[in-house]
Amino acid sequence: MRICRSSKGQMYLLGVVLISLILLSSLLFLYMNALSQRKAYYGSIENFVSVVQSVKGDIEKVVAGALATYTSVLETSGNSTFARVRAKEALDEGLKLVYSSFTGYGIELRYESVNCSLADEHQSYREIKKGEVFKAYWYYPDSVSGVSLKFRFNLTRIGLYNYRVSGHGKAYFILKVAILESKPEKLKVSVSREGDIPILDLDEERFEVIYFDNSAGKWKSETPRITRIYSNGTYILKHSIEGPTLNGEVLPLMLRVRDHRGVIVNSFSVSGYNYTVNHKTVGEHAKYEVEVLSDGAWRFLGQTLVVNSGFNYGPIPPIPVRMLRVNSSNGGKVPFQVEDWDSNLVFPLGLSSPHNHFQPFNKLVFILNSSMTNLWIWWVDDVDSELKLVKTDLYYNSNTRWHKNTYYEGKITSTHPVRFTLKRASTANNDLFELGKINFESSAGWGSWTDTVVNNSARNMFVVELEYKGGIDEAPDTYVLVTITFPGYTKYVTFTVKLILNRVTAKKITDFEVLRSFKGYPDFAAQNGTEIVTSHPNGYSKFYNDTVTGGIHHWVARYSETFGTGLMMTLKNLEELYCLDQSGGITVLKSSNHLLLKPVDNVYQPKTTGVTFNANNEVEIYTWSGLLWVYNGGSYMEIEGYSEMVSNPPEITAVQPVS
Amino acid sequence: MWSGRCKGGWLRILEVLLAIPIVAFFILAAANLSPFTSPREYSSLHLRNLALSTLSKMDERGVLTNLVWSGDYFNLKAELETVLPPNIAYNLTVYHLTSLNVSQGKEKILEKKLVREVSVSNFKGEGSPWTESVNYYVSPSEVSYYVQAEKSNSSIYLVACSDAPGWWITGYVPQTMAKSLKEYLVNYYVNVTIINDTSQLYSYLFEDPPVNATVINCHGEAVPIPDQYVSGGNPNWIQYIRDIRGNTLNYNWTWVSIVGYPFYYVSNRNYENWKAWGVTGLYRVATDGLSVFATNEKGSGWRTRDIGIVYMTTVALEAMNTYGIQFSPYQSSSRALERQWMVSNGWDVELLLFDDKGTGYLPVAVFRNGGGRFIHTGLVRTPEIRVPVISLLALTQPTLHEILMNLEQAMKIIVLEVSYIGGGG
Repeated sequence: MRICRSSKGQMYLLGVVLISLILLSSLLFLYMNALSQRKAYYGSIENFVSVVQSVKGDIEKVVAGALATYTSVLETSGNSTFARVRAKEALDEGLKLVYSSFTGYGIELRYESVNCSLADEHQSYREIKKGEVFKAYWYYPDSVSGVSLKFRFNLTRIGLYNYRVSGHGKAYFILKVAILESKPEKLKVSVSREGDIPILDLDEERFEVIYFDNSAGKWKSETPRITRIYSNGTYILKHSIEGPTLNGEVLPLMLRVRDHRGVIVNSFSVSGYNYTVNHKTVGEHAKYEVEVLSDGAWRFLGQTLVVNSGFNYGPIPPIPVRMLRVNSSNGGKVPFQVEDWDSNLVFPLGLSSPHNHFQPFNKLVFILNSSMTNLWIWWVDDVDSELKLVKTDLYYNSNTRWHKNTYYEGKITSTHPVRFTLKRASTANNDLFELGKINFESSAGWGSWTDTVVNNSARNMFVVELEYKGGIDEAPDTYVLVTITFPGYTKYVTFTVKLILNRVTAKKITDFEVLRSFKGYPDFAAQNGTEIVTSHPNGYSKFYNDTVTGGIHHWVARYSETFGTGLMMTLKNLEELYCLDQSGGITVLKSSNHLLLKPVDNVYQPKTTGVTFNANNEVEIYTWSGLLWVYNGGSYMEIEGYSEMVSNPPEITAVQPVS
Repeated sequence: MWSGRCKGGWLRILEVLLAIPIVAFFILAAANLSPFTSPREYSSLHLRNLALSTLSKMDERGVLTNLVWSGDYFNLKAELETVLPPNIAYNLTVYHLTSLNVSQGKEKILEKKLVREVSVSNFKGEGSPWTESVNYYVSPSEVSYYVQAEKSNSSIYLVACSDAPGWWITGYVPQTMAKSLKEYLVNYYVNVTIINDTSQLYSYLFEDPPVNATVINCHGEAVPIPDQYVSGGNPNWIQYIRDIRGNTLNYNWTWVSIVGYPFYYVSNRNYENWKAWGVTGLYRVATDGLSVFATNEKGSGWRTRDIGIVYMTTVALEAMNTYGIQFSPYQSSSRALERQWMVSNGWDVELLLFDDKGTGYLPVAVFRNGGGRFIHTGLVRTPEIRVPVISLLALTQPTLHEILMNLEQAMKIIVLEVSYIGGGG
């Protein structure tokens, strides 16, 4: 019995254990079931709302930040490729952070670049191509920055797969700014974002008006005042810029807008300028090496071409130079180049970087011929566009250092002293010129000289600073800088000689030759064919007459041979020959018929005279420019043509904005 | 008998004791794991969404980031109280991520740490009644790239002595060049000093030489020489250039030559009998100047070569793009410096800014000798002053506010805790 009772108790115990196991199994089943139900219910509600929104929100932040980075880097560097690389790096860095923030949810994140359109009613071509990701169309009245991406992410721990975030065929984010009206002291602009949603809460600090200050000669900026905001995203901005306007209507300026995300758009109130050119001289030789400065003014041989009253030159906007274009009504694309000069435009530094923003130290150079009556300087809005060089007839041989085009060949043939040879193309006939002889001492180019701009479309250039062995007698601390340009298509080259006086010491300049020719000039001509040669008692001829109204002798030529060269100067340049010494001018040495361009001529005066400069610690710069041209065979008419060309440069009769 | 009854009773007791916790545990577990949601959780979810959407909306409008990053917590509080319903108590805390150098054994590691900045709340009571909280990342209002650099504290001296002429800087005088250079450099360096005359030159650089200074010689091929290095009207230029070399090596200077053949002349206008090229106060020491600087001795001869048109290296292009100083990547180099000679005299090439075209002559380069550096700019005159600026920037790489490039450090984290006022949670 004992044994029996004892077994019964054990059976009870066994039963209890069995029941416990069954209950525990039930409990486990219930727990698993409850867990799956929790996934199904709570997961779909709680995590979709908060976790998915958080992931999506963070992705959006990163994308917006990357777009902001793209636009900021683009604005700073001017290099869209570099900006895109930086922005993609930023995007990847940001997404890594998003990934690391949600690893607990088993996040898997992918993104891809997709095509999308940024077209509007005016610019149907605008798009973000697959692979570009970031894009900007800037410097037009309506401009835009955008990013196009498609995201997919999984949150495996809560059973969420293939959640998509995209712009649904449109850009993921954009900022769009349209200048609707640009008038003195007033700007009307509209600002919107993706989905054409107007942005209404930008404060004044988000706007920056950038304008060219003609008196200061540089771009300045100011923060405008918001006077009104409309519900469609239109802002009325008040600023202090009064002009000058184009055509009495449009004020050319740049507007920079930066939204809350840091995304920037740069808009310009016009997209180019249309110039109507009145050529006073026509003919094959009438080709002008035009330099356009930052304020928009056209210059030829240092003189600004006149604009008809009622019109003003519009400034060239500070945009990457590779976005600039020049076209003409008859010939399509006009070859041009952009050059860097020093801040005072005294000496050239070379071709500009394509990414450089056009600045007051830049010159846009092209050759204007008499068939170009309508000309556009404009710019493209695609920040990725490159400048395709349009080849001209210009060629530079880096071995022989000859610059040549269809008509001439020129090079520095001697550097001790510095001498320049000019000849008709493919012939042996040449003329030789020496530059910068001072106080009877020849120059040299021992230090270094450079062909700063080579093989380009509009012109080549040679630059040298002259040296004088042992210095210049009686003129210490004096420097001479020579620049020769070789334009395409023309029959001429230009020269500029700058005399730079550092007046830390007193000095005297007794004689200065800007230019001397070594070939005889047996015949001379002057305006209307009148030869004005004043006989000089000592066998020299002074070829000047500064008393005649309008100036007469701004050219001289050797034309009676089969080949000849000529010297042509504008009236302003000619006047510079008398800025130091009234005895200066163009002199012809009768015995050898040498031509001398002499701002100071004391040959027959005692050396103690001359021009003296007291020490006053200033730096003074004097500039003489002119052009040297070649022709083939004794056509007096051709010389006349050149005279007309230089005497009567074109006028700009109208400057119209292109919008 | 007694013992048998006793045993049976004990088993029953044991049986009951086992059953009670099992059943109790089952009931509690079942109750706890029931799929039906409690009212408390519904309200929590609502609160959490409310908190999250409040922050999202504020962020979308740019208000949140502006107020948080400008530190305008007064208006942040006002904004929150406008957006949140009146029956919600909140506590918003702003943290930022910071990186600390922490010693771990012999090594130093970068540890990231959350640092509390501020809390704003409308809750006046005690304790922590919060029902829900959400975390929210706030990047700066302009998550972008600024031109404005984090300025370096190292000192830059622009040598532009009015009493000493320059050479190969035509178009400039030293003072105008210094002014132009300063316009670029002040964006990246806190201390940019123009040395206006030779007595300042001696006092600033040779009496008590600064450490880690960058000295840019705006006189081109000439170096102004103070009166202290002139005796009997003759320049003691060997000792002077040795002192420049000594200070460069011992005080970790960076000496910048902006154009042409370095140390080719010394200059001081107080000595009118010194004349070279007709320039008063210019004394020609020729190639021995660079020889003394590089080797401490004279006699190394001509060490440069004209290698014509040269092109920028990627290092320089990167610096141009980064700092937005763009000029032609093609330049003419007539004074490219012999690499082998410099290296054999202890000057390693640290950076090459323009390609040497395989000639072994470096157009523009940074050389390093111990802690001292020498930047050679062997281009033609007139100098393109942006070249030495780019050389310096490529060397020192001033940090720009590339916020997204370092997103973590640029993030602030907001924790918004919420609860219903008067319970209900």
